[in-house]
Amino acid sequence: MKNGNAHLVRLSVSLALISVSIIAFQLVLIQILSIVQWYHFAYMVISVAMLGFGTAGTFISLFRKYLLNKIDLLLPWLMVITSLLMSVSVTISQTSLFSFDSYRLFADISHLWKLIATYMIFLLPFFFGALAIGLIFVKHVDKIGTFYFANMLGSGIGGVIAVGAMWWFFPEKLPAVAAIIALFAGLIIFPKQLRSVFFIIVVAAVTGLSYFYISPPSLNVSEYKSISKILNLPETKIIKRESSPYGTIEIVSTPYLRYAPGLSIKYPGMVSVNNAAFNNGDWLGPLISSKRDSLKYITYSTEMIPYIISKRNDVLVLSSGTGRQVNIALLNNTENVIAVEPNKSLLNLLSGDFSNEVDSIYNNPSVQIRNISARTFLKSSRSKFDVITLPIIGAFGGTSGMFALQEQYLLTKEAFGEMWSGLTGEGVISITTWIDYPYRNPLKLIASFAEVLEQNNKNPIEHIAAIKNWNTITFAIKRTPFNGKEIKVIREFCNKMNFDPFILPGIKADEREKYNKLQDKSLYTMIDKILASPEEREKLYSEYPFNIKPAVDDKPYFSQFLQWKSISQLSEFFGNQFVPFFEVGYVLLYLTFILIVIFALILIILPLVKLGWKGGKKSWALIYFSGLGTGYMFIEIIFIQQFTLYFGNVIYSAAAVVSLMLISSGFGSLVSQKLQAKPNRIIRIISFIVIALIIYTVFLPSLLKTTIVFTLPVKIIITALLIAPSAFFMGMPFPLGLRMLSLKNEIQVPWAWGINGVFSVISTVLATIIAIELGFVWVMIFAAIAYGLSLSVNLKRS
Amino acid sequence: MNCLISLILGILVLAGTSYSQDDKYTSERETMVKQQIEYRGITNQPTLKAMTAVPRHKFVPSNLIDRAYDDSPLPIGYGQTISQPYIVAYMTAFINLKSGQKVLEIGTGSGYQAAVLSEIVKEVYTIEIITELNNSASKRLKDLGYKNVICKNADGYYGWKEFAPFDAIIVTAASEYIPPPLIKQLKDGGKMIIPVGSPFLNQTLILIEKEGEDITTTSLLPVRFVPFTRGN
Repeated sequence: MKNGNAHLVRLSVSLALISVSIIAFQLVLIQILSIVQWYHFAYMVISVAMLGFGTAGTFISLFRKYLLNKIDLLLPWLMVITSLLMSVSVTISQTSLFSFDSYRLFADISHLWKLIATYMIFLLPFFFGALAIGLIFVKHVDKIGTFYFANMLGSGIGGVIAVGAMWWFFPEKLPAVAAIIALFAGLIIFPKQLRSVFFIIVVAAVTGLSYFYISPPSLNVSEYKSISKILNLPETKIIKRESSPYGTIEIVSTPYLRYAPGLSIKYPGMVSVNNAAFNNGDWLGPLISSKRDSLKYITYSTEMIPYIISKRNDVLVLSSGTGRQVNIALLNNTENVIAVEPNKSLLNLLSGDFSNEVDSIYNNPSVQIRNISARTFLKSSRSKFDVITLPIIGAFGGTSGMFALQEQYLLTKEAFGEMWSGLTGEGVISITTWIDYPYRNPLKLIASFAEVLEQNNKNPIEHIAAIKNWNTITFAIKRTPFNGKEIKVIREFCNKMNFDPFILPGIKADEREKYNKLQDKSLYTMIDKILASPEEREKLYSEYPFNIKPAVDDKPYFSQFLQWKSISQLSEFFGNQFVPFFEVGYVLLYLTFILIVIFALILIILPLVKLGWKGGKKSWALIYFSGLGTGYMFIEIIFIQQFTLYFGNVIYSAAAVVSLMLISSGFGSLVSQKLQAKPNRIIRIISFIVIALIIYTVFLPSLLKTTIVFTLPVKIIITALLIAPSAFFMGMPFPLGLRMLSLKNEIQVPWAWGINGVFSVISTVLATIIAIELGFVWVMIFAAIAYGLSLSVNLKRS
Repeated sequence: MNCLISLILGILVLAGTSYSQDDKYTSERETMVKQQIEYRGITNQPTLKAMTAVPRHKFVPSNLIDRAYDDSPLPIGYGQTISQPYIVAYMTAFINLKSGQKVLEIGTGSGYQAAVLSEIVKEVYTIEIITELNNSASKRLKDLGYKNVICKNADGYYGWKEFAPFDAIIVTAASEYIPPPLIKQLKDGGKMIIPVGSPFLNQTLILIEKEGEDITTTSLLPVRFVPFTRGN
């Protein structure tokens, strides 16, 4: 008996360890794929790879008897294989045979096959790891509460470990670290009779993993990423690389990079050469030093508009990055600058090793740094500023919609409203955008400001000024109406620099085209319509092929413009092959969803060949477990969204929320082991969850808004109190359901587990689609509906 | 004897294949000019002639040779593309080049645009910052006999002062700003043209015109907006 208990404890520890390694590996893969491609591709590949759980469920359903007979021998081997696959999969995926490029996907068919191969490569470690977990659940379904607790606890801890490890290890080294944990998981349950094999595995694994740690795969970064392009230049090299949960920051030294967006064509001098910073291979900004150059060129830019109107004392630079806007403020003799930048790793570099490269701006006594997300700063700050500046919107030449799926809380109507409230009497919000084509960014931006101003009972025409160059427009939104003197100064500045007034009280049509002409003049008419009246604006929203309605906190996707209704119209104008490049992220989101649904259907239907199509209350299992999988993931996503803004740090709040939820659910599962698995009990638990969800939908945003100004420890306590109780109960229905199922239809247990896994993946992608198309509040509503469905099928049974 | 006959037959077959391949590409090129360029309204005869003459398939990577005459840009490595044929034709026609003129190109890439320009003007100066691209393009242009194209591996920011001023400048490797030295090297009355867009979506062209001290820019309609059915 004692031996039996010891075995179960070892098995629980092993299960927790394999769960730690799987979650850690998943997070590491997201980092790696974000470096070699872009975030949305990482998201897509991981979504498919996570179907490994569903595949394992189907596999166990089909071969249940055989697998359970050999379970003691299989489990350690499955975990060792998982470890091996974790360590080699990244290396294999980065070979020229499999390495794909998302940009070439729509231009070169071979990259489609490479993408499919990449899915398969990353699906395997998840499949084998999940197979081990699934077998433990199926074999010990009577103790599912305890084992599910180990699984949840391990997953929760895994998230924290992975985030912490990213400070210490570069992403390409981390698969080996995750693999070591998986190896331990296997080794501690290795049968004693196979001791000699055990030692061989230990030696081989230690040798292999040491090799992969010491010589990690070199990452095959897309040739279209900013960092690849710059590294093609002669004498250009990475001089510093630093890893953190925010991504990998690279400082590149080059004798050729000059960055001067919005530079006047009249500028007579030279543009200075700068080193630059990149995050996960994406452009972060230049490291500007006035020691190398007089920096006069910065004053020949459209971005000067807030400073030419009057002297500024207090400037707020939101998402200050490498400090370009801070530099502009200091060059204009600003007394106090608050620079808000969430990336701790970047700030450490720029105020430490690379301080001289940026004229020590982050150590300047006039500059105060706030290491927090810009939006959270806005929500919690009560200060007033003369100028509030934001980073330039979009990218030169367009982004191909790479940011379409990115939640941009700094560009929502609510955010602009908070900026407006944070202005002094003569204060100005200053924001620059690239002129894209077809016109999108300037239109959405001006629509956002028009709506915010009208909400504040102001006439937008009196409060907005904008000037344009050949490729940029800088907007200035002033708290009080622009006066005659200010308008004159702006006109004079435009004449001096070859800029054109774009929006100005009393502007004449020909002023807009004096130096920089647009062949497609619809930009002017559309801007005028947006500013004219709410009715004209609404009409334009409905007629324009792109979505130019302002982003709001509930749908914070400023860079999402593509609409299904306009795709045929765009194809007609631009040709089918070009349309995906308008918004690659958006197109891929739907492609991913379709792909996953097809996979999911196969995985759900396939076991029915063995289980039989009819009888056995399969519809109950299908609805119950799919509802739980969907509901749980939807709530997790909502919590991440809400608490990211609350804490002002995406990485830590996501890790904290997910871990807190998983661990609380794990304890719920542990307690459920003591409960009888009956429909009535499940109904009561799910009813509590649904009621909690309704309460969250109504009260959570306002509660968080009220308490956002509290100190960090208090906010942590509030978060724990909000998340833990509901997550505790959310951990119960799954193990109770499995136990209930095992009493009458034990054969269906792996199928049900697989359904839960498959729907967890589907719902992750579906939640993003719902958030983009309908808003986050609907994700919460659908979460309640999903749990409601799980509840309803039990009502029938009770 | 058998060996000799086989050898002769082999040579004949190879020669035949080579002939039919060339024939095939000439035919594809003519179709490209008719369907992708003329049909969309470009009537500038020097441009049409140049586009018909330059063997585009010799400027694309070997694995994409079958797609050389497709109506799309193609990757050439180093994050660069060979532009869609229509874009090349549109830019060339737009600056309305004359036979005795001198053109500067910033961003040689594959060398295709330089080859097209060289069929029209007297001298083409082209600068490429990426050494590998410069090496392959200059060799390709030399092998194909484009003697009036001069390549340089350098930073395009500074232009090419020794040969300035230029009647036209094409900046295919555009940056966020127009380098001041390039403005200075543009002849009075000259035109500079800059295509702006992501690698597979080159859409917008910026035209810079210099008249004495006056410099104006025009953001042209994206060329893909020209309806396919204009011919009708």
